[in-house]
Amino acid sequence: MLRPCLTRAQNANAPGTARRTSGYVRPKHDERAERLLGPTMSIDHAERTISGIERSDSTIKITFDPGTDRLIGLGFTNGLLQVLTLGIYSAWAKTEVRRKLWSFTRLNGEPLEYTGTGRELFIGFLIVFALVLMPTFAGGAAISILLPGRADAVTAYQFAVYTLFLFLVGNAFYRAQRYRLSRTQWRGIRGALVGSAGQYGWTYFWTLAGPAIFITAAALLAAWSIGPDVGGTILLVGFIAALWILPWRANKLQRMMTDATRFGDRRVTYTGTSGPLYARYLYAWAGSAVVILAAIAVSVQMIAASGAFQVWMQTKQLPPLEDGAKLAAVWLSVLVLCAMITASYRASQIRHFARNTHFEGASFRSSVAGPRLAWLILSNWLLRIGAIATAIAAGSLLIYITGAIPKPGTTDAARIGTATLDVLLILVPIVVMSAVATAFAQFRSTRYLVSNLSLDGVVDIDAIMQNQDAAPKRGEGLAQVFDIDGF
Amino acid sequence: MASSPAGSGDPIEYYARFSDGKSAGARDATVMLGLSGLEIVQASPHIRAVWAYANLRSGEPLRERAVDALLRSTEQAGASLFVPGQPFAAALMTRAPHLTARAERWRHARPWIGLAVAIVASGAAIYASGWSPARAIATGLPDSWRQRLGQQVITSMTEGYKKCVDPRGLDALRSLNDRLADATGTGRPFTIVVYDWPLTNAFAVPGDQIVMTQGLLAKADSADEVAGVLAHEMGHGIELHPETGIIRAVGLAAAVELMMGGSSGGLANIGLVLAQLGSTRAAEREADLQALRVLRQAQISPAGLGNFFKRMLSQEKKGDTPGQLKQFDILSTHPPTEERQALVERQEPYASTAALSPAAWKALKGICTTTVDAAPAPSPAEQPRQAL
Repeated sequence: MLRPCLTRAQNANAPGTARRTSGYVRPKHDERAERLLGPTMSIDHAERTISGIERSDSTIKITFDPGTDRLIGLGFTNGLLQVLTLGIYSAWAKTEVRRKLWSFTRLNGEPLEYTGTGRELFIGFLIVFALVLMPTFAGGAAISILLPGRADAVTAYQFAVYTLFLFLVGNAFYRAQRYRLSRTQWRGIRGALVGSAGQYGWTYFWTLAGPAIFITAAALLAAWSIGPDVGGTILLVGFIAALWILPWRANKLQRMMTDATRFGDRRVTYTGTSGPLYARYLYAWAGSAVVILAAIAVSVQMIAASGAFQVWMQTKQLPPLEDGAKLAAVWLSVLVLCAMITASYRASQIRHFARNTHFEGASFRSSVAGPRLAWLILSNWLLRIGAIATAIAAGSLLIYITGAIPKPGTTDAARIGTATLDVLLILVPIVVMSAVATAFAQFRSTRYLVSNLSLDGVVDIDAIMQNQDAAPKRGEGLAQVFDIDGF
Repeated sequence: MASSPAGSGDPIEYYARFSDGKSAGARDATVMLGLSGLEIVQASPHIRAVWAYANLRSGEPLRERAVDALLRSTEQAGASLFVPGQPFAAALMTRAPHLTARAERWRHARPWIGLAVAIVASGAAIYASGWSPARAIATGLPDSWRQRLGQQVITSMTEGYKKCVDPRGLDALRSLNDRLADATGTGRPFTIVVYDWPLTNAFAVPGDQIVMTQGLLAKADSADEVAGVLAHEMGHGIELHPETGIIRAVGLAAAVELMMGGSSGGLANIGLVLAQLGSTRAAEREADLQALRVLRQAQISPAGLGNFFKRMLSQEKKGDTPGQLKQFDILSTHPPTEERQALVERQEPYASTAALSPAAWKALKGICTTTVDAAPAPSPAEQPRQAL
């Protein structure tokens, strides 16, 4: 939507020379304004377009208004700067993308503002690197050195680390959301997430680990008292059945997160129950099961018919490329089909979460649709893969054109120089194209989700006061490390 | 006529929405681009404010094609001013250039570009000086750490293969090991283990330990050839190449992780990095030079060292090596055979005897007639000197 500025002569405030229309001041006759707006745009046209900024502050209209920007240029620049700074700039790159996406998102025509900084993200990451990643790695290295060859010790350590990470992932989600909300403003009023990240992390953990421990214990007991076959069956069936906890779990976590969300001094509330999610979940669960079982049947038949796989099992001689490609195609199709089925459920979950989320007297509503969401996810993946493939092709072409191929008989220094150039010619296009694809994919996802979101009902906007809680000082390092920070 | 307190700024007034940051309500306002700052006039209640350009902050960086501007000022914490329309944003760019995307990016990236240049320059200087930080750290590692690290590498790389333990073969190997290890002059005990593995390979791991495969023994024509290969691997051990390689790989992975903001999975793939370690060509040359010194000291002919690799290369050219194994083969990490052959031929002749007697050589060839599952390696304290 076009949003021209409105101008007027300096004396427009003088009594009798201006009239008020839709809340802004316009002179009766203003040659200068007309000149600035250009011959194709009249003041009246400007009035109509500017009326996109709602004057009635009792409802909130959510829009996504990127103009002509698709973040492709920003992605390109960010990619180049990441190369020039050996990757360190990524925190600032991420921040600039967020600032754009936030500013495209409008409430009553006025943009959200992202006030986080690259410095906060970078420091957050450094702290997590020092307190989580390095100790984890050092612990693994210490076990390797102190208990060499002890596979059981390594397994126990890995189990402990994965358990800790499972707890930390929930924690990371919460902290990331708290940071982003605290750095999100509209009309200077910021969001907040109160509550405990530890409590959320614990719920995130036990709702997965609890059933897993129970099923494993039951299977072990059955294996010990009845037989290993029964134990194995209980384990398999138990874990498949345990998937049914997921809608209840998602709803519970959503409630924890939403009920702790604030905009200014006002609460956001959640009233959803998991019941309505289960009908959709049945379709997704059964659909995925049918697809996977069919793929297993097809794969078994292919393996039996080929014979090459038996040779592979016995001699480690890889099967022919054609047989491998056929099998890979089957499971790639499974991946795509399951992604589509899952997307359909995800879309219904998003709609469920939205309609049960309330702010003041209004309720959110999402019109996200399964097929569109599936296409969005799939096409974003294709976009990323295509970008990297293009970068590799471009890099290879550059190597061919420059003739930068290590040649035998040359000195070590020359060979190292050529090899370094080769790496750069491949790596730089990959980093740049990945940054472009990532920024564009994030743009597409945000556009789809925001464009399909609305807030229905009356909100007394003037009554919303600033949030007085202290905001976190650092960025979401933990979520960044687990690669779950989304944007 | 509204006057600018700064004197002669832009006389155009722009429509704006002003929020005080205390409540979410917004008020109509007009804004003018004064000489030193934005002049904001709120109509009702009538409030006038000036925000100096230097103190302005923008919601998103200003661009030529920006459709509007969202501004804050450090002079009025919490307040924000939304000015719709491209002309205002464009006009503001000339008065507050620090708000443009280019200026912001340069301000944020400049110190890191400087740091990147310093890192690259330091790396180049260290490389040019020939000093290896990884080697320096490797030299400082306690022997017990080196040995435990080596055992870990052996365990991970030989998984699924049985250890060769035929008693007569072990005696022959111990005899060869004693002769070569004494000749190193380092006083360090070397441990050699043979695995029933068809691949033609031998490699040194940390802690002066060497793994040799049954495939290599099968391909070797004489004990001198095996002695040459073992002397070469001992050369790696003397030069601490395995330890240096691991420390370098870990350091690089950590650096990549740090630079890529934790999303590269670098640390998670340390195991892969360790497994894929390859010796550099310079390290291979150093190992060859050490091997020639050891062989001379042990009075074993150096011809075996050159011959073995030469024959392997010719077999590979004929296609005797299965294609899938090539990338893991001993030749993949070694310098050109011609270069090694020339190095061997440049050696002054010296009196030598066969590395092993014919009977001992036959016993060594048959070391894999008895195999055992590779149990966890004993701790260094439990190992006899030059144990197999």
